[in-house]
Amino acid sequence: MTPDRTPPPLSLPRFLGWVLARALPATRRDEVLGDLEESYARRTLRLGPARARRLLWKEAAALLLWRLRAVGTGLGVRSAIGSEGLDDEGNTGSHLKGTGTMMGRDLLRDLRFGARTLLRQPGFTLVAVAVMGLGIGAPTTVLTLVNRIFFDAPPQVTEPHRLVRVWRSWAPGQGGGSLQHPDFAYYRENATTLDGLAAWGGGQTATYTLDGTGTDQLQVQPVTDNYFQVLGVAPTRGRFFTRDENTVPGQAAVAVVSDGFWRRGLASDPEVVGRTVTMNGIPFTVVGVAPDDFRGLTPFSQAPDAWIPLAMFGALSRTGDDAWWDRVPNSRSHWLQAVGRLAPGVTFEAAEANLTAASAALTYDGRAEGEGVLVTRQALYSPRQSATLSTLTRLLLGVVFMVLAIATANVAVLLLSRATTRTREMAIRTSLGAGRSRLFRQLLAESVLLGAAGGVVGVAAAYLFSDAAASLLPYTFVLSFRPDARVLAAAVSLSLLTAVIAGLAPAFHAARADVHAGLESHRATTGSSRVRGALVVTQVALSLVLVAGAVLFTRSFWSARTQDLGFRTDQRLVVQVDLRSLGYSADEGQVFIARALDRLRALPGVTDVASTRMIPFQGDWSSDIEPPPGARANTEDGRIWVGMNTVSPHYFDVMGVEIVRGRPLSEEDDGTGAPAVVLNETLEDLLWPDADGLGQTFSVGGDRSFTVVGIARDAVYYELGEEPTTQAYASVAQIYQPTVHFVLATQGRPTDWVEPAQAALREIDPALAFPWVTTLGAVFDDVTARYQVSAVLVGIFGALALLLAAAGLYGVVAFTVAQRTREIGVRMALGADRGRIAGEVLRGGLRLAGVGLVVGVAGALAVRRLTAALLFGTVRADDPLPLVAACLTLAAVAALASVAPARRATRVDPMEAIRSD
Amino acid sequence: MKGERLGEFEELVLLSVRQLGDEAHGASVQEVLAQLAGREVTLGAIYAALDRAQRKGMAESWVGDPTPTRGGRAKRHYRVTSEGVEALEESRRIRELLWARPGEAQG
Repeated sequence: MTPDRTPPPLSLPRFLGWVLARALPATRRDEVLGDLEESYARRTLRLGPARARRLLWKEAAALLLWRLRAVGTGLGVRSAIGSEGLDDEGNTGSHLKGTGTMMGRDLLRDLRFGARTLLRQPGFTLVAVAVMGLGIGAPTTVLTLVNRIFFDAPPQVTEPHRLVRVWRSWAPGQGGGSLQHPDFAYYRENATTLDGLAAWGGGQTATYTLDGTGTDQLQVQPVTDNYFQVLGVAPTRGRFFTRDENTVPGQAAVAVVSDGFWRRGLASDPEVVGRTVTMNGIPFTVVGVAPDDFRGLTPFSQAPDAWIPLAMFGALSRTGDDAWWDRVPNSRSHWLQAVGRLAPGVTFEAAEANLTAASAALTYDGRAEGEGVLVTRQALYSPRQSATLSTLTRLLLGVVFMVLAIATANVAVLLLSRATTRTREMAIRTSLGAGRSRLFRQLLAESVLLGAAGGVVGVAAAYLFSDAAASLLPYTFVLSFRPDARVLAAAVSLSLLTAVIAGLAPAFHAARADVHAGLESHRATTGSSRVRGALVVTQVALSLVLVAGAVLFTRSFWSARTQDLGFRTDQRLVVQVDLRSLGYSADEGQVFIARALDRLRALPGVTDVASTRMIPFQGDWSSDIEPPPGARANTEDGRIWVGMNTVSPHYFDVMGVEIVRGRPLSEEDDGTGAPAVVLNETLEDLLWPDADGLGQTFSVGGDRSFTVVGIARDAVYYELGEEPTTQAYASVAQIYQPTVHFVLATQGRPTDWVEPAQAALREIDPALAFPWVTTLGAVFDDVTARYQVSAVLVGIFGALALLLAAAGLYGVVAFTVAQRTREIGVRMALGADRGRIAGEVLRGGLRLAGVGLVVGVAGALAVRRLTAALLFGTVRADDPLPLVAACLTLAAVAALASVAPARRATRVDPMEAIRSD
Repeated sequence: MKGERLGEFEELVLLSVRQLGDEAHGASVQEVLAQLAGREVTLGAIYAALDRAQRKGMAESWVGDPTPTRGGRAKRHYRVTSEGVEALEESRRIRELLWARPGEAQG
């Protein structure tokens, strides 16, 4: 019969295709995948899609097995043309035609024999491969992340190692803020060590239309004219910007579009250069197309659809307002991210020195008020982001390599136990003439095969779980995480290394086996049981470190989450408005704030609204004052450092900050009222240690005196775990601040009020397109994320480690019992007490665990210093509780793991045991 | 003929290949085995059997041109060699001998 209809091939599930494409040799990949796709389609017709899909996995397994066998028999495609090959047993002296050295042939023979042996014991093999897969999968997953986060070049950017980032600094060596335009322009002129310094501003959503019919949204990013040139990107069509186009505000309406937008929005028009895209009502002329995949240096946000010159951003944001350029870019708004390219031959240090010197010489109107500068090497991340990422990934690497070590020890125990039971087989083979080196190689080949299979499982796990693991990091990457060639190479090396390490002890054991002893009895030699013991001790010790770490990090996270903040974080929406960027004077700004508070409060479901200059954990604003007589200083140079904020009257209610004495700020504390201030307890205590602060006079900055009208309870202001910090709250109606956060108390999920709040503010000023919005809950989540990540990850791996250690311990104890069956039988026949025998077995297991615990405690103490950076302030690395808890957990698990074998020992039937040989 | 024996599965696969003629490739062999022999087997098993048959000189294979019906993927075609046909016939002869009633057997 000839199958009459050949349905069109169905494409395979992505993961399956990916695995098979790598597992099959290049010469046969196409035909086999073609057969598989055709087979999938035929089965879908014949058996239905669900069954066809299930059978695919069976097909994949069979194909892998087929390749494994083909490699084992030396039957590549070449020999399929008709060489003799090996006979079915593979271990007689038959020869392979063609090339291949003696060693290669032996290797193939060993591998093939090993494969047969392993397939004959599927249970053992499955467990060993699973453990190895876990051990290799964990580091491969983490290496995938590390590789992608730190070593992947941003797409299309040339020589990223020559890029440096330039940030605003607030103390020498510290910083990471965006730059203000005047500083950037100055650095650009004075950075003689750089082949250009470029900058970009935050992306904005704009409405566009192509020919007046229909509108859609796109992401626009304002960039300097040299942006593409500094990143080393070449246009695929047209050109990028010229300096002229970035000089006069609102004049050069030109745009570069992304490859994606060109395809999607402009239908891949070959004549795209010169076309008009109208954005927010302004006709922009397309001058060029950026290469596919180019996204700049932004791993956390979607790639822009179009780039425009910085000088056009004002026009885009505020239609027709050309005066914008004079105000915002030259104002003190920090809105630019800067990147420079080191000139050829210039070192990073030279560039750093160059910019630091330039920054120190920066003056405005003769006053040295340029802000400090921080230069960093890491092109993609802010200093804070790279610090968090590198701390977390280092922790992760440490953890996963511990898991790998545990898994290796575990497999070694499995192999060793198996080698012991095979003592007879080995002895027989030796007596039949097999050389010791041959047996040694044989066993090593088996473990290499296990390692290879474990490596496949591990890489598959990394492929499946990398994205999930990345989502645990406190940043949202737009990238997707897949193992690349580098990671695969690392995984292969790890697998081989693991396999060889795990296989060495059993291989030595087998090669040393004594023919006579092996044939006569099946007692374990003391040497191998010592090695097994040591391996179990290793597992228990490493698990202890991980479990203790998990407890420690969980405690740290818990204490970070439950810390008394002094304010509430639930049901609070935050909308940030920069009144300076709207070009308001102080008086206009006050009017805006008052109207905004009224409008927002009128929204249904909003119970109250306040404005505040600062929200917790976001930047700082402070001043220092000369201590009045009798006051205590809190800085090293004898002054009082005061954290500042300006708020609207309802602030204390909305934030849940308690007023302990006096009154909160009120509507009377406005431009016409007497200057009033609320201080927190810490500040009051510093200023008037022995007197009541209420009614006292407080002045900061010299010219105005404020009367203290209330004392607020201390809260957390800048970071979790900070020491009690001073805070002074003035009325925004009396001290104008152009940066304002409106905090809305909402009934229900605060994010439901994002749209209404934005709309309400746009009604006051339509230019306020999309103000930045967050919730206090999200801000707090962000601050605690690093503690959470450590807790979750170390928790997961700690649990896995515990499981492996328990299995390892169980295996060893059970094995000892099995080995001693005869001895136990004899003793019981002679009247030994069952309880006593069980006790002996149990004690044996617990003794191993005990040694492991001692080693583990020592290890945990040795590494605790390294964890300090990831711990929340009030939890200390030398906290004894996690160690005690971990010891108790492991002791309990060890007892559980030893109980079953101990019970089995008591059930030994003396007659059976003695007769069994 | 070198007196090589055919395994049962190998025999089924070779028979399918013979029957399919120019259309014999992995997926079509699988389909024939499913429809006529009622056996749902994996491609891996078929390839392994065909590899073995090729080593014994009973089958040969070549890669055809990519065809649009397979999404541009090439096929590996199989053919039973004269040695293979001989082996199949030998196997059939033995079976018929064994099936025959006593006295019917023709040497």
